[in-house]
Amino acid sequence: MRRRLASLWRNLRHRDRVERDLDDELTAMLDLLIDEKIAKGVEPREGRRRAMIELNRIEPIKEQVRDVRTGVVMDTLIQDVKYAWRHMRRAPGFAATAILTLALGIGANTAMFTMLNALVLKRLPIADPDRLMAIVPINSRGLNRTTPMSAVAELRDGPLDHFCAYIGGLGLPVLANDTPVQTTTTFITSECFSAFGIAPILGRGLTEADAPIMGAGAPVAVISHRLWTNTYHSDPAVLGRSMLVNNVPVTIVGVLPKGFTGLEIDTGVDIFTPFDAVIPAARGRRQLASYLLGRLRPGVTIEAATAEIEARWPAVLEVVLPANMAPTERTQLMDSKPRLMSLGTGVSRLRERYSQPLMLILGLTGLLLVLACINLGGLLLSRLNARSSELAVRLALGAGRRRIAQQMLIENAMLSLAGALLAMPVAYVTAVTLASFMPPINVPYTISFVPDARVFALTTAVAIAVGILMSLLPVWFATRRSSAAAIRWDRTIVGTTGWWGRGLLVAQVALAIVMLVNASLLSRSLYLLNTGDLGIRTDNLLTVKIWTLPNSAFGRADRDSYYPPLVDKVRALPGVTGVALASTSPRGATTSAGSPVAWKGDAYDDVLLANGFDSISPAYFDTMGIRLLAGRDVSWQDTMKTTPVAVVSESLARALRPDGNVLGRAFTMRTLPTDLEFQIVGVVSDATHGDPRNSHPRSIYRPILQVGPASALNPNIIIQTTDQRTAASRVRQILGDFGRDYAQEVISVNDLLARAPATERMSATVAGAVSGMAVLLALIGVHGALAYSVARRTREIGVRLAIGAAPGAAARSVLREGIVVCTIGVVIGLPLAAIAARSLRSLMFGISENDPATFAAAAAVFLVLGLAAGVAPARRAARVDPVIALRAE
Amino acid sequence: MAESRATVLQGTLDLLILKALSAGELHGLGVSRRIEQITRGTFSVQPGSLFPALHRLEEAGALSSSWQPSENNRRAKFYSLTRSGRRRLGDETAQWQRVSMAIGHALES
Repeated sequence: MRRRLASLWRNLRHRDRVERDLDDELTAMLDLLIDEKIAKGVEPREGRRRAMIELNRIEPIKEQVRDVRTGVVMDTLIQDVKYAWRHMRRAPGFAATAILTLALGIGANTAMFTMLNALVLKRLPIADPDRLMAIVPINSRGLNRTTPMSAVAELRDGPLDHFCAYIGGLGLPVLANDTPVQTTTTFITSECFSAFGIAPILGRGLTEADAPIMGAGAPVAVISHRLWTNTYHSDPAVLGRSMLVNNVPVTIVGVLPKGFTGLEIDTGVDIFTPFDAVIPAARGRRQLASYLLGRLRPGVTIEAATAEIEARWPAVLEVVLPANMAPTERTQLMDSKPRLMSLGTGVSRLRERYSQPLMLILGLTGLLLVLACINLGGLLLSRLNARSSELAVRLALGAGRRRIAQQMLIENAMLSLAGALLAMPVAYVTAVTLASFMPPINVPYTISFVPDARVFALTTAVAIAVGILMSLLPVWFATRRSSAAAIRWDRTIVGTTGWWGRGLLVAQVALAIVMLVNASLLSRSLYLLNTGDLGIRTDNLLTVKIWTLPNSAFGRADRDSYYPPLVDKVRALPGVTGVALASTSPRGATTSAGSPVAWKGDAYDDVLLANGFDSISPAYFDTMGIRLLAGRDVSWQDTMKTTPVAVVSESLARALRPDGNVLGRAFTMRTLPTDLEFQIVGVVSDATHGDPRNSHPRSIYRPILQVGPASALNPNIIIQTTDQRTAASRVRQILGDFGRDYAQEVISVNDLLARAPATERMSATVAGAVSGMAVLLALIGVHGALAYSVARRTREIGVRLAIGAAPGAAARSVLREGIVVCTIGVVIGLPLAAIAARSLRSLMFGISENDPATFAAAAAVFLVLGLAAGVAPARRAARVDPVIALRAE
Repeated sequence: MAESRATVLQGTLDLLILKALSAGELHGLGVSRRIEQITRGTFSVQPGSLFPALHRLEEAGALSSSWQPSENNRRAKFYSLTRSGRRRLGDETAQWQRVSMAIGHALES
């Protein structure tokens, strides 16, 4: 082995000496042979001739000796790499284009794969994550995620081991180590950690006594490793310390191992407490869990487990459903069929929300990569033609076809690797940009969209695959030819690769137009969404999201003496022209189905639903730019002691009474636990919560002081001001002086709205960027091919000119070629684009996915592009001087 | 003349080279002539096979080489067996005898 390494070292490092040695050895051999012949009495000249015949050719012998040397593979590789490097240096424009094309194609795909990996593919950091299963009852209408927890006790001996209940991702206020922490809390029963296969690294988990399935849990908590390190600075004395969760003191009894933060992969979970410990269960109602989960017992298949649970389900429900449950709810649950859902990848709201746009973008970036490959294939084909004479000479000199193929593969592999290297920063920037589109929530996201080792490995693999793929055609062309044909390269190649090259160009244009049409549709839809009528005036508006401090001096019942002075103080700030409180922030409203409303005494009609419900302070309408059409605004005098009143939107008024004359009448709204009754005191213009898709909401506004004290209300302060920066800092100060709330986020309403249609914005932005790249690639492809064909035809054009062709004819034919290629591409691409656009239907607003104007514009862009790509080559063709062209031959 | 000579069996070339060198060091042509001599002209090794084999054996450590003056005072590269080459000659000889005996039996039966 050592000897081999020594040979390898010698062969690679002292190549020259090894070569000289071999040369000397063979020369000596020849001399010895001649001597031998002379000694036999042959005349010296004849002896030399015979010796040379006997030795045959020296060069092939050398080549054979080289082939047996240690490290011959590495040796030729190094040679090829050096050769490829020289080649790239000689054609830097080609190399730069190729590398950039690859970097964009691979980078965009890496970024998308990173997101896909983080959201969809990545497994939870627990042992055998795919055996972690949840029972989800599914009724005919889709998911129903709540199941009475007592089912856990009934199914304990079922096919799932360590069966337990879990409700995750609750954004409760937390005060840990005297610091407010923005995180989520999860309620579990004792067996959950065993189901996860996780044991605390410090302290203990939750015992049966701490976290029983039914009944109140003990005020104890197990915390995540990251909370322990970030907030408690990895202090081992954390055990036994108390923290406040939802203002309830709980004792820390354990710390979980690093990396595990519950099932919620978007934000992670830092605090695990028993059910009923920090939020008391509502009286008379049994608790519901989001997941009943456990680990599939060894040897049990998912099908067998599902069948067993399904068989037992009706009996379980009979036992666990409370007697006082509403009949409709009961029927729904009884109708449901239990399904097993794997929790191996955790749960993610982002995944649910973004899977569609992500798939769309993944499709687009995939197309971009295909386009990049085609483009490169075309580039390499052109390169091959430029190198035909070189290849012909090499073949004629006896270079092996395999060696030539290997060398071309290596050149392309080097391009791919360079592209992959450059793709890393592209991927990083793209992923971070995409992640910034995620809508803000109360708790910071902790999911990481930074490409990891797995993703980088995949990128490199893709790059190599692309390198091989894009080499196939040129290598085939290069090695297929006989050396005799290769010598006549300039007459044979153009005919064969010309059609291939043209086909590749048409394919590029067709793909690019598919992408351009889709991106344009998304962008126009987004534009309409952003400029749609909101019914509110958003300029100069600032919204402050407030959250109640733990241990605050004020109780919830003190609102009457808190909100009015708070609003007055903010109103007095310089530059402030309006202040109001509202329970719902712009863009904060969910588009829920709504609640049934009816005139007092009438039966509820399922058709009449109110779908906006907001608690507001006086001056809200003025501040938001909503017009009061009739009646009065709410006032601070509307309190719990006065008649409940409401202001309704014009759409609701017209829905209640076609003439809209509803002032002074009373209506009821069905809610739990009891119906609400309001007297209508005002009608205002329709106003959205920032989403023009819901432009005529049937909204109910009620005075903020009439909202029951039990309701956990953290209103937004909406400020109309000309000086947003001062207002932001002064509001924080005023809140601090009151000592009850703190400002969680201060943001201008326009910023809030701009980031609001996150799904659409993400799709449109990425699609726009990707299709821009695609158009650019197509332009490069067409231009490159035309420029190259002019360069190749210089002689032909020269000859034509010399025998009297019109000077403009060549230029016209070049222009015509560009337009023909683009036209065919457009003809093929438009129907494909229409097919692809069908998947966008659900993202469209105010525009049809078949919008003819968009299709026509895209077609026009490519026809212009075909013309533009040909301009420079055509001018070059027009400038061909027959004398120079013919002399060059 | 050369055509009538048997081509060297695959794998036996190494054995022949080792055997040729067992009597003492030789240069490339010497090895070739020696093989012709000890096989009584049955085998003639072409330079195209000989040199790769010599280099391969040297890299494998069975041979060592040095530049020395030849019999008629030309500088030539002389090969000689190393200790591991000698051991290999022994091993391969035994192996060859086993194989040739087996083939012999097979053809007789």
